[in-house]
Amino acid sequence: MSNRSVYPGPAALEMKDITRRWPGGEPVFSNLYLSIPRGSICCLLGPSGCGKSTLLRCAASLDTMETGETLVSGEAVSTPSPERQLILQDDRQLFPWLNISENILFPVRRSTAGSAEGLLEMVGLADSGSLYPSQLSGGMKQRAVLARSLAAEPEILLLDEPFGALDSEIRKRLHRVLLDIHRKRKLTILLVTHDVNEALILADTIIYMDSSGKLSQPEVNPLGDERNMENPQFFQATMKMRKRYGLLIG
Amino acid sequence: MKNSFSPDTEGNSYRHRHHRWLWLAGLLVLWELIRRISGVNPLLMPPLGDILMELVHGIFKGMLVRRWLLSMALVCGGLAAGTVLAMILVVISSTGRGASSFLSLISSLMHPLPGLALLPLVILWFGTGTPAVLFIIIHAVLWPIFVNLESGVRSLAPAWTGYARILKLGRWETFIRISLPGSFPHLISGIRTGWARSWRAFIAAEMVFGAVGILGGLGWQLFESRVMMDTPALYSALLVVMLTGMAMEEIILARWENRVRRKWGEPGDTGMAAE
Repeated sequence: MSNRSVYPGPAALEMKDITRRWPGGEPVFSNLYLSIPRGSICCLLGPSGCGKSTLLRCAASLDTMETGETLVSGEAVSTPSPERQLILQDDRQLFPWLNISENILFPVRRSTAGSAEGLLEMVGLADSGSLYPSQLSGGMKQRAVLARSLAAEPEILLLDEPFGALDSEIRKRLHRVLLDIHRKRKLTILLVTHDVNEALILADTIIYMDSSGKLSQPEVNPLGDERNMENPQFFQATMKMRKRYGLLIG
Repeated sequence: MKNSFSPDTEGNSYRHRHHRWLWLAGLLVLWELIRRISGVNPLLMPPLGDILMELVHGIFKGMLVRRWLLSMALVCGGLAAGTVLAMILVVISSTGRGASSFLSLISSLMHPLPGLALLPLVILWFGTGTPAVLFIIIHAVLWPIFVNLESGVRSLAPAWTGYARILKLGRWETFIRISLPGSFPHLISGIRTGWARSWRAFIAAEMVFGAVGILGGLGWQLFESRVMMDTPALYSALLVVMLTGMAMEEIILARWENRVRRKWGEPGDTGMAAE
């Protein structure tokens, strides 16, 4: 384990020498270096409470860092921006006073009805535009949040265990939706999870963060393009990864 | 997936309202029974028929409707002005800790202060006309709405405020597009409390200040009936004051609040807003 997690090639998102402390003064992580290549899906894997979500909030510039800087396409950024969309596990991300179409078009200043329809279709909610968030299931809400993020035309999606509260069937369906969107939009995605299976299904590369906030070197997904649980190598890859990092997670 | 907003709550709320109107009818019958059995002086406790006749006369031939309209116009105008002022104060309060702490102190001092306690000062400042009554109404409305709205803005979901930052929304845009609609249930609770306070304050203020305008409102009607010892007219005006307060609360404000809460997926509230 080290503090540096480096990829070769141009980075869409870079975090250099970042340090963040808990309110008591103890570091959550210190002097981390992280770089995510453009157009890739990177999973940040680690046990609960290790600082993954804090790192993601720092990447979105929603949390302030004691030291270091965040670079998007090589330019330093210090405030949040629509180009970096953050999606949480939170059930209350949508605005309950707006219907789903209005929620999706919230980030768009001038919109047409057609643009909401296209996004609704992309996430499999074509018939739900006129419903309100209170009428949707957890999985449908997350799909609507995903569509709203896409409406802002982001370069980077930051996902904080977005499917953590959903049952396995819905989660599988949402994995397919996310991979489909990634293929169509060529987005850079940094996904935080504590689920090894989820990391192996979604990620191009996997980084492990241990409980002391240190990062592993990025590991290319051993399953290549065959990232599904039906792949005979899936179980083996899962066990290998658990063994390597001494994981008792997911 | 649910396709409708909680039908059970709707049914319970309907039954609840239905029972209240039945109780009211029962009270009127009880009035008449007590009056007849006890043989009390009709000047103190006039027959129900006389009160209702006076009410019908007031509505069709007297000035009751015009006075009711004037009262409603003044209270609703004060309610609207108080709501806008409360919104402005909440925006100012969100500009920083200093403004928030100052306005919190002012609301803590002013909220418990009854409008009638300000009457001597209000007479000095505004005299006894419409501006004085409007001041009393706005004072009655402003603080409960401010307190409720500010509490709503403080309890907004962190994901919403975080999203406003991600979209780089300015202070006003965040307030108009997220904070205000996001604290709407709190705002309605504040308006319910403000309505009850302002209706009471208006009636009381008019009985002290005298008629508002040439005609006067319901407070003046009560005052006039007392001076003339016309107790059926006094009771009919009291009935209108009570029924207006109850109808506004039950038929308009509570339904509005329940509808918003159901749309939000929160359980509907059938009780009165806390003061």
